[in-house]
Amino acid sequence: MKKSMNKSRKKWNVSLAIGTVLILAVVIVCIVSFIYMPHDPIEMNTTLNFLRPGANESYILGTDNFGRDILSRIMMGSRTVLLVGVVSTAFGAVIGIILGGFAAMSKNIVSSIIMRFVDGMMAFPGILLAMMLVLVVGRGEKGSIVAIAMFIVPTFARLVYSMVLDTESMLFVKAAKSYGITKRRLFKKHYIPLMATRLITQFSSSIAHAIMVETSLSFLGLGIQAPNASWGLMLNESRKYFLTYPYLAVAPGIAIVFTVLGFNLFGDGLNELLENGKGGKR
Amino acid sequence: MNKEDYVLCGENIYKEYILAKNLIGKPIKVFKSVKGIELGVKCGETLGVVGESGSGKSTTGEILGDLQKPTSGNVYYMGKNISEMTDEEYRKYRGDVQFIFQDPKSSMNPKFNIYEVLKEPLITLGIMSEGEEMDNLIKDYIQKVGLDEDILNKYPSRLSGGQCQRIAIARALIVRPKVIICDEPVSALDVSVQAQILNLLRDLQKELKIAYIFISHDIGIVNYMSDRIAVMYLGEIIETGTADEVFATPKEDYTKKLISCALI
Repeated sequence: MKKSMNKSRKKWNVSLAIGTVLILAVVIVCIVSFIYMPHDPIEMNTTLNFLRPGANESYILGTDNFGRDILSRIMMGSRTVLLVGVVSTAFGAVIGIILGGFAAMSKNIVSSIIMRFVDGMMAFPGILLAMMLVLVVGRGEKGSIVAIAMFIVPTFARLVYSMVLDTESMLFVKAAKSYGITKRRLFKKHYIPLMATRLITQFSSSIAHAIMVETSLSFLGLGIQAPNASWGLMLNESRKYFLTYPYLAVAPGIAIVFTVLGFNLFGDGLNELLENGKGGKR
Repeated sequence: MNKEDYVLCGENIYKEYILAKNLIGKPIKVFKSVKGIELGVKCGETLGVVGESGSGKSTTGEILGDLQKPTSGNVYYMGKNISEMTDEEYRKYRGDVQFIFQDPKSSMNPKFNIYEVLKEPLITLGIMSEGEEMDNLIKDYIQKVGLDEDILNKYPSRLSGGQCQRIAIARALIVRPKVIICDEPVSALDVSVQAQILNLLRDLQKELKIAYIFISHDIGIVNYMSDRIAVMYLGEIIETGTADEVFATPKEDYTKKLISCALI
């Protein structure tokens, strides 16, 4: 009896654990790539092309059509994935939070314009919007970051907008107004801390989303440009040889799946942890 | 009604809520919450406002404290119309008129500890900045409302209703207001705690010379607290007078009904 009670209280948060492990794995790979990579990921060696995994001991995951080491390219690609994923989500989140907060607190014609504009952005299929923006801003890392940030903005704007409207009717907001709080301080000191758990959760899921879009853009040739490495780009390059040499697509594919899964599970697990802790702790 | 006599008064206040609009945005269904009220409170006295749920007493309180705008009518603070005040005057008014709400727990941000709750009004009203002086002031007021200093780093959800209401009183008092609008301050509390809070409010009034607008549905409590009473029914004031007058010789049937309910 006692044992089972203890067990139920200490419920193991599986999503959070797996998510954390996967994210840590990617981060460690990324850090290691700055210190050590088995081979130069850009150097071509045509005599050693299409080595299958395990065929040569120094090329663990094999080589691609130009004889470049796949493991090294995956390691190099992890930098792009993390950089573009995190930076673009951060940009998008900040802009979205400001827009949504401003719209919810000003409640006039400006707020309607902002929210209808955000709705309009949501009406586009995400990848189409990102492609359009890349063509405007330019290809490569910078272009991807801007495009994906724009793609993240509506999610956060709408989330913050609805949460502010929710919070607004609470009594402590009325109390705060009774001692003359400014709208800006109200938003910064009262609303943001209350929204923090939802925002953090959303941030993690949005990173997963951003990584998906980044790899899609690279796959379509609009993101990172060769000879730089990106997982999407590697998938694209493997397309021609895919039927004969399937391992070319498997390695970056697994890397993408695990990373996206990691951020998604992390977000879910965090949500579970924070939402449950809310009632009990404070 | 002579505005100069009152610290805070409302003149001819109407408040309507639009419940439904037709296609071109013209209101077709309007709820009249407050219908032409004249109400004022003098320096250091307690004005009781009593009436049943939906009689517009809370709305009146919020209009007097400028948390809601009246549909028509004016609110005067120290004889000045608050809608014509300069920023400087309005800030003074904002600090001088404070609120105590019915539900003490939800009147505080759950993410703030008690120290932060009490710090907020001092900072937003620009009375003082953080430092030793502020710490001492907050400790002073915590003692004034009969609590211990170690409550300062706790969170509202860990406190009892009575403790929270004491904090809410301290938060209202800390900016040295002239008027406090108490909107059903004890109706969410246990009866034993109610008496403590009411006595605390009375003692503080004697010490600090604050005027209260005391809103409640319980005429017994209002009678105990107030110098003057206004009875509200369906958005109008149907009877006013000193507390003793109204309680001993009620003129309206509705007031008599309220009193008989309170005594039983």
